Amino acid sequence: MTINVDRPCGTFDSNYYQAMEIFRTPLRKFLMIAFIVLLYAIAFILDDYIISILIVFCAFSIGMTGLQIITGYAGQISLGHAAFMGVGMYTMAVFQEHLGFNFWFALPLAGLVPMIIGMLFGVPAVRIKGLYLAFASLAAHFVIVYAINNWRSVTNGTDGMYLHRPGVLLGIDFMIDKYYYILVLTVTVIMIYFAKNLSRTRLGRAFVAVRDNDIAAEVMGINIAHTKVLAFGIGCFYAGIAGAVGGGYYEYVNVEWFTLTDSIWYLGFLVVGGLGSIFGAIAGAVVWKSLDELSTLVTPITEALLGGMAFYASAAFSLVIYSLIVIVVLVLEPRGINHRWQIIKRSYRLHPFPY
Amino acid sequence: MAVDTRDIVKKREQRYSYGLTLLRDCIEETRDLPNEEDFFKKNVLRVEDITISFGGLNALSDVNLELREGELLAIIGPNGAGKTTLLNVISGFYKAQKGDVYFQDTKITNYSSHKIAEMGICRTFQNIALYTGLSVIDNIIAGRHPHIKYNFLNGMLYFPWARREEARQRAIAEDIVDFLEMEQVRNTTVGMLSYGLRKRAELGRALALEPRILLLDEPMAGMNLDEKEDIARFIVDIHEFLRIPIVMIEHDMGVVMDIADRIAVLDFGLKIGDGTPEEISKNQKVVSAYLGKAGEQ
Repeated sequence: MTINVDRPCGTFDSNYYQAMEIFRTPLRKFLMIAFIVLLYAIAFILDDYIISILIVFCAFSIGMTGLQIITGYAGQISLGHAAFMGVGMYTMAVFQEHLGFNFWFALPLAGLVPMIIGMLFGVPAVRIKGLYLAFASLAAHFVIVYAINNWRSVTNGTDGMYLHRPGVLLGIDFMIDKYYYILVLTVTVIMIYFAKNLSRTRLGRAFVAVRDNDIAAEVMGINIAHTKVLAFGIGCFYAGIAGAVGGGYYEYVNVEWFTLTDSIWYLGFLVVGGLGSIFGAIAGAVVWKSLDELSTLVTPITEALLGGMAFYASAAFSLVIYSLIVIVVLVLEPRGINHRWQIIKRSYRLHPFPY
Repeated sequence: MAVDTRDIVKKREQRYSYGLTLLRDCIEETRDLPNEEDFFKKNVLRVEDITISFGGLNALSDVNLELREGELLAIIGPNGAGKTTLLNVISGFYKAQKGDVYFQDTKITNYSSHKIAEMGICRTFQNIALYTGLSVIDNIIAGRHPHIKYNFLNGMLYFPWARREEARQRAIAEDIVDFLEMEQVRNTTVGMLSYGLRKRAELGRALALEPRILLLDEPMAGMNLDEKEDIARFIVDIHEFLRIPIVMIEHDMGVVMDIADRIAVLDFGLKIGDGTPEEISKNQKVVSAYLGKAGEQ
């Protein structure tokens, strides 16, 4: 008999509400709140460079959570996720520039427009799956990039567009990076909380059902066409929001920012983080973007070592290190960082005993 | 006959005051349980002239079958006789080339699988088809999908009413877990469970759908005697307490002869026998299908 160790010794649920909690012990709840408070607090301590990294972490965590919903929960591969992030950025820019929306009104729209487009590109998933779906979803990337490049009257083509952060609200000036970081962090916390709720309620279970056994899911009363399309919709909503808040930091968006390679790294680092958990998505995003920063840090070193070759070497460095990390994780821990984390938590709970 | 059944139902109600009562209340909220007067008289499911072939292989040819209220129908037959194909046709997974399926006089031949499931025709699978990544309790709650009444936005925002609904669904699922005696493993991922427990979990998931008809595809395959007895007990309890007519494919003749009210025999896609266990055991065609020419005397 396998005994499940999903909570520390001595904690019992006495009603169904407790069984459904995200944090089953007060300590865990406290630690999470403390962690979030810490994330807010460091905005006032750190310099703008670190803040910029944290904003990128946050934005990509949202985006990765979206991909987690599509790929990790619903089991549908999407190779156009970076492009949907781009749609989010462009939606923001277009609504601000052409229609005069401010940031707050454009933000939900920057989620909804990619959501609709994502649902459209999710329709093939109803019929095909696996590798075939991966190829079908490639179409999303090329169609979106083509549309942005050529729909000049709206998107400015390859010149890119400007988008604006919110101005002063409640006495907070979001033009200052640390306040903008607080805004992005708030959005991230809310989005991740929603994703967590999604995963523990009706649709989340339907997603996992479709992932694990779509034939059984259909026979068990789940409309899989509906569910798959919704998975794409919600995942792309997340991508759009991620793009909008990330683009808001740079206040500029260019079609060259979201490449097919990015979409593929999205998937790769989702696997590194661990499929099928929100924590895995965040871990994947953080690892990915940390490596990004790492490769910038080592550039001066490569420059010193290689001289004139340094430009090419450092460009290659990030690719090599990304691939290496993905391969190493696939070999050593195919279920990702999340699984390793679960093992650590488990052994902590059982501490004096091995199991 | 009907009087007998009523007595049994009453007895069961007294004995099993804990298991399945919540599920039964939940079913009774939306529809009445079948009357005992209708037992063995009224048709709930009718399969008419079903023909289906895969390439040159006739999986089913002109099969007629009906399931009556309050009946436990066993389908038996050698391997490859078309038993599972018949269940697949009923649950809308295969489309028959000829013939129709009627559920309470509604033609459901062309309905999609999930629609049929929502109408109350629920099934289990021969080779277990659970959602391997979910725990037992989540599998059962996932089975309640069509009965959960909030949309995904309410779920995402986790409004109080969605939370209450979740708790209600969990209570019903826990009731099923209690009934199936799986309390210790309720939070275990089903991928880690033993074969017998997985089969049980699958039965639980089918129950969670509030079935009007239950189709069981070899619920006891590959089990030892203890586990078989457990499953047989569950099936009989479900049958009597929830008054669900059951179609069961099973190879274990002992079990079939003991618990089935009626047996249908398939062989090479043809129905070669249909009757009470006594009739079937004397049916010359059935005996020769199982034992070959040696059986004919």
